[in-house]
Amino acid sequence: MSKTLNFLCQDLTKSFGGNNVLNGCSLKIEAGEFIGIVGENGSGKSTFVRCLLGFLKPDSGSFFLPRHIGYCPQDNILNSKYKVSEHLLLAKAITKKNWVVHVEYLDSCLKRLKLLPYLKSRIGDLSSGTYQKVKFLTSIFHLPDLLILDEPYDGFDWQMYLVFWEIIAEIKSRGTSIMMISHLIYDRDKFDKIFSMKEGYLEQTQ
Amino acid sequence: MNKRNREKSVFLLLYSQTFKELMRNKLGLVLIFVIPTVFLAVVEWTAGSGTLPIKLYFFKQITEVFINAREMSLVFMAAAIGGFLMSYYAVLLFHKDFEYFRYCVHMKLSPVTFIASRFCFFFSLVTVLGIYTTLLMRSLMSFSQIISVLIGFILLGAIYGAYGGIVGILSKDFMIAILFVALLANIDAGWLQNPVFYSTAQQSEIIRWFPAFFPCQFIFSSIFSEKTNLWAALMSLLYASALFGILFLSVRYKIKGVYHGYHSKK
Repeated sequence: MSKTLNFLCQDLTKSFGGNNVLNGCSLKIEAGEFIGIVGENGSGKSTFVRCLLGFLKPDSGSFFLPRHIGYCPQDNILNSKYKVSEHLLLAKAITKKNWVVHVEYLDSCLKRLKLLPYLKSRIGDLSSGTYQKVKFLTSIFHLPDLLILDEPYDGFDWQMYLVFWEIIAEIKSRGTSIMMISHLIYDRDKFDKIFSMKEGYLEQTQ
Repeated sequence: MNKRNREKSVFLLLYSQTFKELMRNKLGLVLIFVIPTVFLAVVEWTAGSGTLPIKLYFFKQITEVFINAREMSLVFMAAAIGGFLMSYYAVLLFHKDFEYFRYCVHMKLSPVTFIASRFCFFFSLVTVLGIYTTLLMRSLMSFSQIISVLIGFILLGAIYGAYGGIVGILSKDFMIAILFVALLANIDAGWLQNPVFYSTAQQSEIIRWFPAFFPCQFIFSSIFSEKTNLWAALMSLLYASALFGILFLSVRYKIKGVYHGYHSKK
């Protein structure tokens, strides 16, 4: 039986001032599939994601996405003046408008990611690893249909790295499609497919 | 809870969070009360007591009145500070952490809810600053049309705030936004609208189209005459509405991303 298609992208192109960053990227992801996209710094991985999420306008191409997406961005864009608890409260309130928020799952992730002691801390005062955990938690707590992770474990210690994979395995088993972008991918066996971004093209390498 | 109530709770949450953001910005808190107090105290301390002729612009009439230099300086300084402070706060509201709210919109925060919460907070701030400035002025000089003066300061704050918001949203750099705000506030509210200057200016037609002209005329008329300058109030309102329209469209365009329509359902 064929699986449900959760994401499809065809011939996506994007250039900046004559410099072609994406040269016709095509990709499809089925429900519960976990794919990795690797590439050197500046190869266009983040541009690809920003086009998909609507932050950038692609020059051409077509794609469709599920409505319920979780996104862990590479940049530190969280509001530095908010406390972690305030950020999560807002994220929960926004998510609640459209989808069910699994409070128990959020609590369990808070515990496993060791974020409970930081709930009253200001985001601007967090260490880079803890900041990264908050971004990761924000992208997963509502159990999206498609999860896009851009360099998600930068700054994690070894123990947190293991917890990260534990959570990813859980989410995957619930049917969430996962797209992970990184310049370095370890544990290649955890991925269903790995693509390499080279000269604006996506090539399957695994 | 239905969807409308959920939207309302997000709105209230965003509003209260904005308030907390301001409370955590120590410089911002100090500015709102200390700057008007210090500046007006300096004027009170240094201004002369002579009389000066100034012009008040009504719809079809220009009235010349003789005003005490101290009182004129107090009103002019209060208007200049109000304009600059509100544009500074608007830059903070619409520039800082904008990428975060774009991210929230990606999480399905309604752009309209975000804009509404920011605008409501902005108007609360304009009103607080207007009330404080009016009360401060009232403690230093006497005038009868207190409500009109308050409305004048609110209109001035709204116009300059909308300008600051537009600059904040369009500028990538916070310091450049502040520079633009300081430059316009300095030349317009801080110089061209000085009654001593504009009353004898050669190009008063040009000065009339600067943002601070109409609200300043409304404030000056309310303090230095018995009349209510409805024309100046109406023009200020039109000016504020036009600028808020531009601000709304700029925020909506920028927060939704240029190609948000690409998100499609399966």
